[in-house]
Amino acid sequence: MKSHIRIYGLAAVLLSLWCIGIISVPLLKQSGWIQTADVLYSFFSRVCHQDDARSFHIDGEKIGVCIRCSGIYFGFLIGLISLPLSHILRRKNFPAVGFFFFAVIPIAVDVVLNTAGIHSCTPVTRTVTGAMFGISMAWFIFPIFIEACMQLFTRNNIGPLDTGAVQYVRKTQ
Amino acid sequence: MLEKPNKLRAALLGGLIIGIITGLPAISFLNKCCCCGGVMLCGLISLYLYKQEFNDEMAPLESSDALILGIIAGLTGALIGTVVGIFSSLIFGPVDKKIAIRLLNWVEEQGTLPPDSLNQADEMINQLQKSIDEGLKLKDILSELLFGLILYPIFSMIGGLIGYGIFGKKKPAAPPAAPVQ
Repeated sequence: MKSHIRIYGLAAVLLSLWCIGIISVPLLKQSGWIQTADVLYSFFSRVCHQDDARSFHIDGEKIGVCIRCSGIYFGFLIGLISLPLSHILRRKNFPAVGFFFFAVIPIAVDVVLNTAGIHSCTPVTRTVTGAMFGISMAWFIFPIFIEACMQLFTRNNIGPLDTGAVQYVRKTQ
Repeated sequence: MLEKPNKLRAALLGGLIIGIITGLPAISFLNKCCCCGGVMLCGLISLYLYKQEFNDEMAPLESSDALILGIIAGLTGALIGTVVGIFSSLIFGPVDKKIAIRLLNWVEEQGTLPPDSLNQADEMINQLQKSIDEGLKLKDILSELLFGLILYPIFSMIGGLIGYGIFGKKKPAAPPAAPVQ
């Protein structure tokens, strides 16, 4: 198996575990694993405000992160799975930086208009803008991430990845 | 071609800002509201600072540099953030927890919460009050450090990769012009 596919697979597994962790918190709490749920709540509290009014709930318990963050992380996972589509867009001369602005503008507009009192954020706008951000960021970042890992593997001559890495770098250069 | 500049200075500077952002109560809450956007921004700033150290005679900036820079900045940030957090709680006390209790009380007073959420809010207030009474615990400090060491390098690395995507890539140099005959 080529090494960039291994990196892609590993990242997809880790991201899936992250997303499962987000959903599993209320389920763990419901099934009596309160301490484990508390540890996971504490873990995700480092990256999210976890406001109860702005979170999805399962059986009355909030999930690990807020609605917008859920949209971002699940969007990122969808973006990672649908990564080949981004390559199709790129072949049609869609600029890579375009993905970044496509990611940032909707979420920024939603937050700024809400802060200015022009419109109020709803769960739908939070989910949609978060998911757009996540998908676009995956398409923007992931090719760079794979390239970076390949450069590291090639530079350090890491054994089993060697051949694939060298071929990949030669192809991209 | 000259060697690339040392990454340590830019990474440590980025790590210092991450430490301040995640260690001080009010700013760390803002960082959480932005889905760890502050940490990502610091990764991006580290890369920008690192890129400023390059000149035309050096080997070009690579995506692996952005990856390593982000990870080092995140690790440094987690360490500094824990130290800043300890000092800020010793100096200011549990400001963030007090703010959270005040916010929850305010939400309860509005009377818009359904009964289930009202019970949850009461439970949260009790937990927060209990942790204020217990004071600073070694367990909390270690968990803060451990979670920081896992999370901040990831988000800072993402910031570094975003930075590389925006201003890191260098256009290939134009081929030399053909001699005029």
